Amino acid sequence: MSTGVTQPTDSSNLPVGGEELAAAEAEAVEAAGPRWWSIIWANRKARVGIVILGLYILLGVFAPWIAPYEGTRTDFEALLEPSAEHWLGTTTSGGDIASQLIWGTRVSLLVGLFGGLFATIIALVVGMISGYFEGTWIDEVLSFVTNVALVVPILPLIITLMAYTEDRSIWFTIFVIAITSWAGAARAKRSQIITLRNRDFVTAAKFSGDRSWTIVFREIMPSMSSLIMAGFFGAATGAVGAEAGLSFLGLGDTSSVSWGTMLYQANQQGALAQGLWIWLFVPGLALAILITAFTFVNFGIDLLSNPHLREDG
Amino acid sequence: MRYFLRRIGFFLATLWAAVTLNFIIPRLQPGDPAEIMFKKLQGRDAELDPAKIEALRAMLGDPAGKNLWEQYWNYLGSLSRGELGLSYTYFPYDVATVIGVALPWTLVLVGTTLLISFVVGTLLGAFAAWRRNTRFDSIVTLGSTFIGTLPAFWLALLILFAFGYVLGWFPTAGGYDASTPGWNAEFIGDAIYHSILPASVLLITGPIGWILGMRNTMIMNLGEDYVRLARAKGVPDTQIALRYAARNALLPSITGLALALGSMLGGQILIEQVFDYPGLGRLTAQAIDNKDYPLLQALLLFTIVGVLLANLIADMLYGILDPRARKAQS
Amino acid sequence: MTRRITGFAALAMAGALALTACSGRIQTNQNQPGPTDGNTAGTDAMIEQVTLPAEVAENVGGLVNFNPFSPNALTKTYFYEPLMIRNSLNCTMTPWLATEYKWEGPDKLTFTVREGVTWSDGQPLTPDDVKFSLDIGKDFPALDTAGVWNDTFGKHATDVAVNGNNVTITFSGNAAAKFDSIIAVKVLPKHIWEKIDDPVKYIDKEPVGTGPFTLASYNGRKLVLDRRADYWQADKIKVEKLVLEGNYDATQAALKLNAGGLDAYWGEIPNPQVAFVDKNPTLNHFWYAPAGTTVLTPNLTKAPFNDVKFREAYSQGINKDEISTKATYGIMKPASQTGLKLPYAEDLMPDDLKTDTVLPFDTAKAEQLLDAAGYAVGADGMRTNPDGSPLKIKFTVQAGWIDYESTVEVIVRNLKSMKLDASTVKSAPDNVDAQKKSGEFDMVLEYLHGGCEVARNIGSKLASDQIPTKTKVQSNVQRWNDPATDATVAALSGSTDPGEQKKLVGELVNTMITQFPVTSLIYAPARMIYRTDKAVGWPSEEDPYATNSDMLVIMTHLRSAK
Repeated sequence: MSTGVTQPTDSSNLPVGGEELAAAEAEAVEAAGPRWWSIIWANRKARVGIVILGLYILLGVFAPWIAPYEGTRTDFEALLEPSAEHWLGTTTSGGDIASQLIWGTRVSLLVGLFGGLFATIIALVVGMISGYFEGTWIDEVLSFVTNVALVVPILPLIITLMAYTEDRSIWFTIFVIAITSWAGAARAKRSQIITLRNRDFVTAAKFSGDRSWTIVFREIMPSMSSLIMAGFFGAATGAVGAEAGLSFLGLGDTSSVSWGTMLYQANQQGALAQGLWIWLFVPGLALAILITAFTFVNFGIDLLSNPHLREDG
Repeated sequence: MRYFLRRIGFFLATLWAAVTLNFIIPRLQPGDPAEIMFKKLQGRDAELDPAKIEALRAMLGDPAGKNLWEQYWNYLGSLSRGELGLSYTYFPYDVATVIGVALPWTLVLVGTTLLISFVVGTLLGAFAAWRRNTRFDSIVTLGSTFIGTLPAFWLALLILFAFGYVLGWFPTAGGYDASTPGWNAEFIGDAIYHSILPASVLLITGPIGWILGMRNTMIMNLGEDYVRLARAKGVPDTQIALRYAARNALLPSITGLALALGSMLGGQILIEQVFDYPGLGRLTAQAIDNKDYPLLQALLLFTIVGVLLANLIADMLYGILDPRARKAQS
Repeated sequence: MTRRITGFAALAMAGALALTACSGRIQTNQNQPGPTDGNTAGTDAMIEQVTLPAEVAENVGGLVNFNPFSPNALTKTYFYEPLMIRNSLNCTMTPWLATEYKWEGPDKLTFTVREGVTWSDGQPLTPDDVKFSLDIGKDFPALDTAGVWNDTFGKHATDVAVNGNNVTITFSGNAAAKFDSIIAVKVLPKHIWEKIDDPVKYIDKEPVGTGPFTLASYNGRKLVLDRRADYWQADKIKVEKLVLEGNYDATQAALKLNAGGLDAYWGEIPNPQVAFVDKNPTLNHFWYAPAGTTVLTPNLTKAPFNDVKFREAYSQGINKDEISTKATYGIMKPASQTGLKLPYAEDLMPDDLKTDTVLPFDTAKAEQLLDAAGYAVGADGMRTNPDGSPLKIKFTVQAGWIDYESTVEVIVRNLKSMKLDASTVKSAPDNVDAQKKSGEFDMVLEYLHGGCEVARNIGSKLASDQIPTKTKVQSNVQRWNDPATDATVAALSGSTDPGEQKKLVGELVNTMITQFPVTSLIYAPARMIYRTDKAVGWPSEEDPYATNSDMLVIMTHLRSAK
């Protein structure tokens, strides 16, 4: 929370209480079963989230057909009012705001998908190995690394990594976000696996002579799938927000249009003083709605792992 | 006892690792402080005057001059003596003085809003959980979910635009204006006036995490056997809510608060940037921008020690409050 | 974050014209505002208060320091004054604490110190103060901002001597090119500074200077200065109270200016016409003087950029008008390929080159030249090198420098329409600097300074000893390496004869327009955005007597609007 860029809101940043909570969630896992889709869909918030997310995905995938122009085009006249040609007007450097907004969907979804995915994978691997080997030196080392990663100030680290690259591509942004945001989730995964490790099915697998790796990734991981999904959506939400924050600080990939870079340029070009409020307002709104959708979907996924919440409407 | 010793050992090891990383991170960045300072002083488009750059190099010292090991030992040495060096940006002031000037701003702004957010958020969360599925609950949960998704810096921009620029009710930058800093009513009033916009952003976004966290833990506790038992025994509802569920649900929130207080020392970089607020967050951004190694190192160290100490305290607190944790870890 | 240009910056602009006066007296600028628009129709009344932005880019309140050598001095302009001030546009000299100067050969420089000047503590200014201020850099290299005691741009000094009212600096060799830095040296009160053990780390809280203002108060945000009645040219200072306050970003500055909370600003305000002037056209004005030129800089050590025909070709196909519109709202005009800022430096232009030297935008001609030079279009529709190998151009630009990004967008589009396979790489600014040092780039944007001393701007751009090294950013980023040019630059920096200087400048200009070591795009601005409800007499296009780097001169021109 110190940076203001990434704000992990999951239980993982609570030191011990989070572990307990996570353990309770882990207990509930098996109850999920094959009914998972209907449980999620039955929840109104989750339904809204899924629909919005679907719309964004369509918008992103079909951006070339939906958007009036290429998002990176800047050869229009600058500062045009909204019109039939330019739905939301143009920027100070002659970019079409509506097109930038639509193309920006792609970047945010990409960052969400892959940033979330990579962070979740790192967290899973570190957390599960560490948890399974609880008490051994492997656990000690991994826990130590995780804890160091938790206390290192993230923003200066990101800025340093950004400053070191020759080419600020969107993939690099994704990479940087992933490797700076896995630690909290890894810690949660570790405690979840500790509770699962002593369960009957794991003991059975051990007795039947399975290797440790097989047990961790074949036996334990599948039983945590809803927790992993929740972790993924949480990480994706964080990644989308982090990309916007980084871009707003001028540290993003400015060669592809994202909502964060739109906000950055609007702010830098004095959009407020010139009264160009659309330019500043719209990208943030798009971002907020996407993050809301992520959060709503996560509500549904939470229902799988925490049956106590299930009666909620 | 072993639990506590382990925690302290871990604290020291992490501190060392963090201090070392703290040394390495700024030095990984490309760029020469003298050249960067020159550009800052002269503007981006300026004649490159070798004489002025050389003079600045002589003033700030050439970090590229010594080998890294030597620098590392010097760094550890002066750190153990409590010397943090002279800031490049505010040369020749030493970094402790510079941080000392910015610290109260962050402490007051972020500290106050954090405590208010915690109290309000926890109360709202507990009440929402207790009155689950009522209209109050859905408004609080839905509302905080939506507000929680708004990027804080964007919210800050909108608030600044509306109340600072369009309506002109509040100042758009700085921590105070015409008054002289000190314990006088004029200055305090001035400072409060300037802090209203940034504080409002922190107060809008702040309670969200506490609301949702408290609500979830509380709902879970309400489903526990001991609550059911109490209900069966006929304990009054309010008492169940307060004495049983809320008290236990508060535990993770309190350790969370300790952690949040620790990381507070990092300041709020984005929010402070938007409002040009003279706290530690903006100072950090400046230090990064100016390759002010001594200042940046001290600020990072400050943050890290804050977080680590908070972690340590949270762990200890938990060990004391919840015997189960102590047992589980030893 | 690059929003301001600070005072002591461009004081150091020396030039060929300075040296014209080498052996004689200088023509003095009488500081009389010329007849112009409403901006100068002021009265003789006093101006109650003028508010300008803070000089320091950073301020955590309360860290007071006026040591003029500190990077964070609260003002470097109004307390400690220089020996002379040169107008960076028309290169005229204004004598300040020195009334005249004289080169007795290129290794001996004498200043005559003005009489009747007092320090703000009442002590008189003496030639010893001047000697002390020059000597201080010898003991403390960190304070040698003019390079008096080292060999940057000319030989180092060996001695500073006082003789009556004169102070004479003796150098170990030709030091003519140091002149503009030396006149900008801040004169310190010896009777105070000689008692300071370490002036480098000295925190100067009670400044004693010769300047037009004294410190009234500072509350950590707002620096208030009072007019000095006993200032040596007090009759020219009409401003009673000068307030320096605030580090504004573009939006805040526009707001402050519009509300009258600022009287002038020289940071960037995007589209000042719309954001400021249009809101009150009679009171609100801006003037962006050219400070230098933004140039397209290829890496001459790489093919195909080492081929002059290739450089000539693409230089024809770049739409400078569009760059002007997209990067500067059309304010900064397309720049002359000569590297001189026109029309101000017209006098330096070779006589046979009085034509329009701004390269026209002509894609067809560019393509023709590329065809002729053997850069044929390949199967994929893109041009290849003459040997048939693929030709790719990576244009590196500082991520986040929006005007540069807009400029490069236009250039890359232009290159593509010449069927050159160009792409943009946006890198962190520090990283671009690192590439300039290492030479690992294809094309970047650079700034070519337009100061008075051509040897130090176009000269530095083209001299082989100014090629960046691994550890130092220097001006010759494109790495132009030509012994003939080096000889010209060396001759020019030591030359004292106006006729010879013009001939040598002509040779450099010729290199620029025939060899295209860099391609001029648009002029880079020295901004002045101001309102005239309180004070008039700000510099303007009609009366370009100073730029934003000479606020001290501007102070002597301001008159009351009422």
